[in-house]
Parts: sequence; C-alpha cells; structure tokens
Amino acid sequence: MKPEQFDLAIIGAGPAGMAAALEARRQRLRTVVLDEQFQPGGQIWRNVEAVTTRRPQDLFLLGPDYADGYPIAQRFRTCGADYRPGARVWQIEIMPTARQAGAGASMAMPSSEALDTGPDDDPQVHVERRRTGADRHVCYTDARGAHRIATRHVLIATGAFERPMPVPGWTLPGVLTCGAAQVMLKTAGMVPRTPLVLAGAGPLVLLVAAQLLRAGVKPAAVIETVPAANYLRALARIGPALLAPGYISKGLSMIGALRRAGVPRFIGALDLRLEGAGRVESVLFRHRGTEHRLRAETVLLHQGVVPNASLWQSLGVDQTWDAVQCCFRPGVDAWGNSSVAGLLVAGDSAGIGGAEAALCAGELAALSIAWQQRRIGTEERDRRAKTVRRALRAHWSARPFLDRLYRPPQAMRVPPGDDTIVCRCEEVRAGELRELAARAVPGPNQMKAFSRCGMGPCQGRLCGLTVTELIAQTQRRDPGEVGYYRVRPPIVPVTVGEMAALQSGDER
Amino acid sequence: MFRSLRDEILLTVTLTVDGEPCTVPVDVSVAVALLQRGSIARTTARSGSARAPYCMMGVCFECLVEIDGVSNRQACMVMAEDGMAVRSQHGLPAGLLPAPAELP
Amino acid sequence: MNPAERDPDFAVVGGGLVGWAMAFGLARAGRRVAVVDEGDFALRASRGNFGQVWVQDKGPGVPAYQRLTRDSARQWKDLERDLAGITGIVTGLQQPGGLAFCFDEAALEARTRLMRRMQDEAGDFGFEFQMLNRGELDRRVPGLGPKVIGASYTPYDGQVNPLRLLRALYEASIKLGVRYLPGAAVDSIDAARGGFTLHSAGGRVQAGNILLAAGLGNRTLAPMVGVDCPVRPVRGQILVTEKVQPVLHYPSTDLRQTDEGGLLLGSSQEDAGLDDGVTTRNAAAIARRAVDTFPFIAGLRIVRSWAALRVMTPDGLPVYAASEAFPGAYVVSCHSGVTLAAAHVFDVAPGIACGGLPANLSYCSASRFGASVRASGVPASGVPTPPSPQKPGAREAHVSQSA
Repeated sequence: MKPEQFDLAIIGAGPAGMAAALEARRQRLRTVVLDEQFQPGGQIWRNVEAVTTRRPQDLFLLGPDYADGYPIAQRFRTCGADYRPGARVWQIEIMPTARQAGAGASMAMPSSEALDTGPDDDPQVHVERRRTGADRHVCYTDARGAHRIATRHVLIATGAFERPMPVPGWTLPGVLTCGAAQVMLKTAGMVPRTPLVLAGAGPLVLLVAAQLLRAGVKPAAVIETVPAANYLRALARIGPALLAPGYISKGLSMIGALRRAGVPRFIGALDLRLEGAGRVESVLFRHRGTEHRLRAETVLLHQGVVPNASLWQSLGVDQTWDAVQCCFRPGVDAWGNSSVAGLLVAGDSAGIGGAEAALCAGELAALSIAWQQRRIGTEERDRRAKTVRRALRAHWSARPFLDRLYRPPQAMRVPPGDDTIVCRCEEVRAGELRELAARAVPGPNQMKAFSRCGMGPCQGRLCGLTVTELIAQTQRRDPGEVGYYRVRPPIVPVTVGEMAALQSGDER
Repeated sequence: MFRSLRDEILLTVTLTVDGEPCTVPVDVSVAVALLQRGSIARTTARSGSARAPYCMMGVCFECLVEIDGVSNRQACMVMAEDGMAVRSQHGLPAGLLPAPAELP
Repeated sequence: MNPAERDPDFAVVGGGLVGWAMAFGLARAGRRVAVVDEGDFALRASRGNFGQVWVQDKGPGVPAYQRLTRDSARQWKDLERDLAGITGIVTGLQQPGGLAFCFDEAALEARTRLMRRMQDEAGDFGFEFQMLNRGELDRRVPGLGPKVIGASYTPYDGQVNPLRLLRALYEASIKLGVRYLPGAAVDSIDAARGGFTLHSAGGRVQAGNILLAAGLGNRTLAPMVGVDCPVRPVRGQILVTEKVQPVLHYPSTDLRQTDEGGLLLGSSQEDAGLDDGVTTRNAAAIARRAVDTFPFIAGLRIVRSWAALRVMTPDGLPVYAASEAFPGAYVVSCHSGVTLAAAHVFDVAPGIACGGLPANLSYCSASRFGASVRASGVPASGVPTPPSPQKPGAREAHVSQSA
C-alpha cells in the first residue's frame, strides 16, 4: 500500500504551524498537521481551547497573550488541514527521488526546467521550483501504532523547550521548570504548593510568578541569576525594544505586581544550589555577599528557551552557533528553507523569537512552499510577504535587548562544581566530563562514547548544550566549532513491534 | 507538590498510583496525578535516586512510569483514564519479559 | 606537538579500536607512541560496533584466520584483566558461548555443514560445537518465537562493551605515555631516511615508524607507503532498545543484551557508499527479524538507532602489512576490531615493536590483492565489485556481522 500523499506536512500545531496551515490551505495545498499534544496551541497556548470553553475564569490568571491563542486555534480547526493530534513524529526520511526510483508517478511531473531560485537565495539553501515528487516521508506514532506519510514539502515547527539549568540538586523531586508550572495551570488548573521559590533568568520567570500571584499563590522569593553586567549590555539595545509592541511595559508591570505583593526579588544571585533528602527542601544562594537558605517544597527553574531541534538535526541540516542565545540554529533563508531540499523550519525551532514572530514565520514559510509548488507567482508571493515581514521585524526588535538582558552567565550554563549532574538520564557529572575534555576528547560524540553522557532516553536534549559549552570552555574553542551530538532517528521512542509493522514506503 | 485551585471539580477520572486511588480532572496527563499526590515517578537504575516530573512536555523523560503493565511510559504524554494502574519504577523494568532460564 | 618532545618511535594513524589496541600494545612493548586522530564528527567504525567477541563462523576455508580468531578470544580475559588493572575500567567481557538461530530447515542444514567444515579445518586444534534443536534451545533460551527451529552453539563466543573497551584502551595507553593528537585527518605522508612525516591540517608529526589504522582512510593513505589496502564501506544498521533486566544470556549473531541492559538488534549489510544514515527500511527489517526470534521484543522501545560503515576488504580477511618499499611503515585493517583486540595487543603489536609482523599472518599481507602499486601511491587495481545487498542472516559466513 502506498503511503498517503500530501503537498505539505507540518510538524507542530503551535503558532508557527497553525499560521503555516492557514496560509497553505488558502493556497489549497493538501496539508497534514502532526502534533504530539491533543489540542492545538503548542506550549504557549497549551490547552487554550479547553480553558476558554470550560474554565474561562482562568483566562484572567493566564493573561491576554494566552487568550489570543483561541481564535487562531478555531480558524486552524476549520481551515481544511488534516489535523492529527497525539501524533509523535520520530523520523523524516528523504527517499531517493521519485524520478530515480521510477515510482510515485502520480505526484512527480519531471520537468526539464533549470533550477529556479528566487530572491533572497542563499547558496547553501536548496530551493527548487519544480514539481517534486512526494518523496519526503514522515514517520509518526499515535495510539494506533506507527505510520508513514509521503509529502512534497515538510515544515518543522516544533517550537522550543527550556534550556537546561544544571545546578546542584536540580534532579530532586519537586524541582520543575517554570513552563511545567504553566502546563499544570493550563491543563489541570493546579498550582504549586508553598513554600514556592522561582529561580533563573528570563521573561518567563516573571510571567509565571505574576500568574501564580494572581492565582493566590505567593512565592517565597524570586531569585534572578542575571548578573548586573547584563543590564548594562542590554541597555545598548533598548532603543528598538522600546518601540516593540509592549514587551518592556509588560515586564515592568509584572515586576510592579511582585513588589506590591511583597515578594522578595534577589537580583544577581550566585552559587545557586538545591538540597533535600529524596525531594527538594531548601534553596541556597549567595546575594551581595550574604548566604541565603530558603525552605521550599516546590522550586521552579527557568533560564530561557532553546530550539526544539532534534528533528531538523536528525536530517543533518546545516547549523550555526548563536553566541547570544547560546544555542544552535538551523541555516535557513528568509523564508525558512533549510540546506535540505524540501525541508523548512519556522518559529522558535529555528531560533527563539516568540509567538508573534512565529506566526509571521509560519506564514512566510507557507508562502514560499506555495511558490515552490507553483500555486502562486513571484509577484503575489512577495507582495503578501511584505506586510508579514514588517510585522516580523517589529516583533524581533525587542530580541537583541531581551537576549542580552537574560543571557545566562557561563557558570549557569557550564556548572563549575564537579559533582553537579550534567546528564540527568545517565547521571554523568560535570567533573568526569571536564576531565575527559581536558584530555583532548575531540568533541561531544567522542565524549558520549566515552562517558555515556547523552545516551539516555532524552537523547541529549537536557545535556547537549551543556556538553558542547563545557568542551568549548575547557578546550578554549568556539562552541560552533566543537559541534553537537549526532542526532539520529527515532527522535522519540517507537517500539520494535511498531517499527516491524511499519510499511516500507516503497511498495507500489 | 501541586494542588487544585478549586475545591470542587465537576468532571474527574480516578486511577490508582502504586495501588492507591487518585482522582484528577478529566483531560489531564498521568503526570498531573503524580504531582498532585507528590509522588515520585521512579528511582534511577544507576544510583537509586528519586525522580519526578520535571518539564511536563515530553522532553526530559524523567516521568517514566509503568502504566497498565507497560513500563517506561512518559506520564506527561499519556492521558489519565478511569481505572488506569500506574506504578512507580525502581531499577530496570522487567515488564513483559520472559522468566529467566536456568543457566548450565 | 611540543617541539621540545622527542619524536615518537611509532605514530599510529587512527584513534579507533584498531589504532588504540596497537598503540597500547606498542607502548606495553616499551615503544614511544603517538596516536594521530581526526575530529569528532567523523565516520568512526568504533563508535558503531555490535560488541561481540565472535568466533564460530570466522574463517571457513582459511584455517589460519580461524586460529587467529580463536587465539584472540582465548586471550581476551587477559586483556580485560590488564586493562582493569591499569585503568580501573572493566570492559564487561562475558564469554558464555554464542548462538546462531535458524529459521528453516535449509538454513539449519547449511549451518550444520558450516560448523562441520570449521571443525574439519581446525584439525588438531579442535573446534567444539553443538547443533541444538528447538527442545534443547528452549531449556537455555526462554521466550523464543515459533519460527526458530534450531541453532548452532559454540562455547567460544562472547560479548563486551565496545565503548568501554575503546575508553579503556585509550586510558591505558595514555597512562603508558602514549600521546594523543586529535583534530585533523592525515592527508599525506612523506618518507625520508630514518623516518616518516605525517601531514594534516593540524600540522606535522614525525616518527621513526608509522602504523596506518585509519579504517576507510587506509584506502588512500596506504598507497602513500606503497601498500594496497582496497577497503570499502559496508553499512550496517543497529537498533538499541530501552534498558531492561537481564533476559538474554547468550549473544547471537543478530541480537545481544548489553551489560547496561539495552538490547542491540542487528544486522544489515548494504552498499551505501559513505552514507551512514539510518533508513526505516533497514530498521523495519531488523525489527521483524528480532521479533521473529523473540516475540517479547515487540513491546520494547527503540531508543536509539545508528548505522556505521564497516571496513571491508574484498575477501573479508584482515590486512596486516609491512611495507617493503618503505620499511617501518605498517598497515592494519580489519572489521573485527573487538574480537581481534587481544591479538592486536598481545601478538601483532609486540611483533611490530620488534621490527616485523608475526610470520603466521602472512596470509593477511596486502600483496594478495594482486595489485601493482605505482610510486605515486595510486593502486593499479580497480574497485572490487561489491556484493549485492543481502537480507539479514543470509550472508557469507566468514563475513560476520560481529566485530
């Protein structure tokens, strides 16, 4: 049996994915959207449909940015895309081209046209304007088992997750990310038990603290690990940020709310550690020379988000190190086309920009795909893109400021203590990794082979960036030159039985 | 670790965690039940350290539990259902393995 | 390298299982050694290894190779003991014997014939094997699927943790003073009176003798010292499952359980050039074979999958070559870097340290490829015809999946 054929497969139903679907459907592309959650919205608008329809009183707690997700989700539901929730994509395969295999004739119309690249073309990026076959296969698993679909283009819109925050004790029960607390609030209407401490850096720390305050939970403290130097560096970029829609004023109002409620903020905290027997009991840190110890039953950590990159990394997409955001980003052109033909990346999984920027990026990606599949001409594509790009620039204008203000200090990205766990899954500590790095291990893959760091179920998601930067720091190399783990599919677990039953995809 | 904002919830499901009944709202993940109870998900194979849900979005793989006899399931990615049997995992799972043979 | 340090006696090119075993062996024999290695993101067969110490079907028709394999397997526990003593790292060697499952009568008959041939060719050295029927198998191996009708068993086979082996060889070598120079692949070699110079993007390394253990890289490097090493890549894919309690006690040709608890499922053989990507087609075939063997495996999750490029000579036998045109240059290549590690450390390297390869390895010389080598370093022989891709399990017996 031939796999189902599509013009476009979108992976992720967050802001970028939904916006891309809306535009793709406007162009009548046969579109499938695969998302691992059970409602659209991604993480930022997680569960927004259920909250809006069944617990509207919680919309006040979560704030207007969250409520904005509902109308978009509704339009997404009715746009005619084949939306498949509960679908976890574990591999994208670029098949030998339909032309070479002599198969897939219904989709492929081999053309003798020369390669036709558009404006903004980047020699490393492959954009081909011809009728390609549906020779990109996407393998995913849902409750019924493993499936394979075939598509002409793939858009990866897998968003972001919170970067690791390797402090002593971060693996203790009761320690979660700020995002996890939001998931509890959005999906279950639940809040952390007190005493509650939030720690880290980034707008989400303030946002979650403010949301919980509104819900009647008063944090014992907000510990900010942003060093004073960041404020100075960020101020140089504050100009454009002041013009950006509301970013600065939102931040200031959250800070004001915390102050009015009497929540202590410790800015520039150092030496953060978590202690407890079997679960977290205390938070320790140093602030202005004084040692503090706070009791805590729940601790929420956050120091920014990083692209959820596994899927595009598993395809060998060219990547570069972003020295400000301290993460790897795919090499994409102004539309999101990557170095792998037929594969685009949009939204936070291409580089952190936030929900509004992701909406724009999704729309641009779909415009490019529609153009590549010859549904619209160059003039119309560029005319439509103009307004989107203007909005995108506005949403990006606060990023240089925010990125520099909240850039985690090196000691929070590479733990100085030898006992601190770096690889949570395999329990590998910083000291062992530093010792290997000091003895000239060439990179993260050899490090992984020697120490098992990165071989656990999370496949290096929570240790990869730490390991890259640890090697870079120890060996005095650039993180981009050090590189990252070789990411291989399946990028989420699939059972041997499901794999055995997977149709091979080349039957006719 | 977590508590509900409301005292009364209209629609709920009841599952068991390590044999004890646990009631949570409909349409939440199994990890929500763990956090509501303050339970751990597992102890690690290497050092026996306790682990509990951390990211709640399927990225960290800390919340691995046995659900209805199948081990190593991410609690945060499985929806809680009435009658589900959730068990914390300690050491390596045996799951549905055959019994060990007698070695010569 | 620090110019103040003396040049090494031996520069080993290649930081994989073969390179490090040779370096360790040379250092044990008192030589000053440096290992020159490429960067991190490279085709490295040692990181994509099944981890078997496999004997039972190695070398039909070539008794000397059968003997080499048996000797190495016999000495393996000495290797583990030595490495543990120097580094504290235990490589996890288990040698309970190994099984090759058969799924139909024809395969069972072919396997029986192969075992008898191995026994005949072993001669006085002896070769013990048993052909087990289903009833006998069930007593030793719980959970077999209905399609398995029998298996061959020999007591010589085993398994080890190949990554720990690599690390132990590396650590032991460093402890014995071997210098590690990673970061750039060697791209040319000069021979001059009294020594060799290796050139790479990272600089130059000079040594009195060199040993090329660069895997697929030997193909271009060996001719530079007048040796033909026509290795080609054969891709093999492996699936790794989540860790479970010990359930497989015997390694088999396509399946084993690691000491960490995960099951490794193989194997495939393909000509894919230098593409070490994983395909679902291979993965599905491997999965089906594993589930046919042990149905309970169907419920286990695949947490990792990789493909690696085996380094294969046209006849599957190793290359142990001493250059005649450039004395002091040696070329070593094999696809069984784990099984032969003990032989490399205890027999081959000490021989080379004293100025020559052991005589009983003459069948592994490079001259068997029948090529004349021109001074420019490009061999005259053509590219050997690659065999067609084979289904898992149905491959030439002496080209074993294991390494």
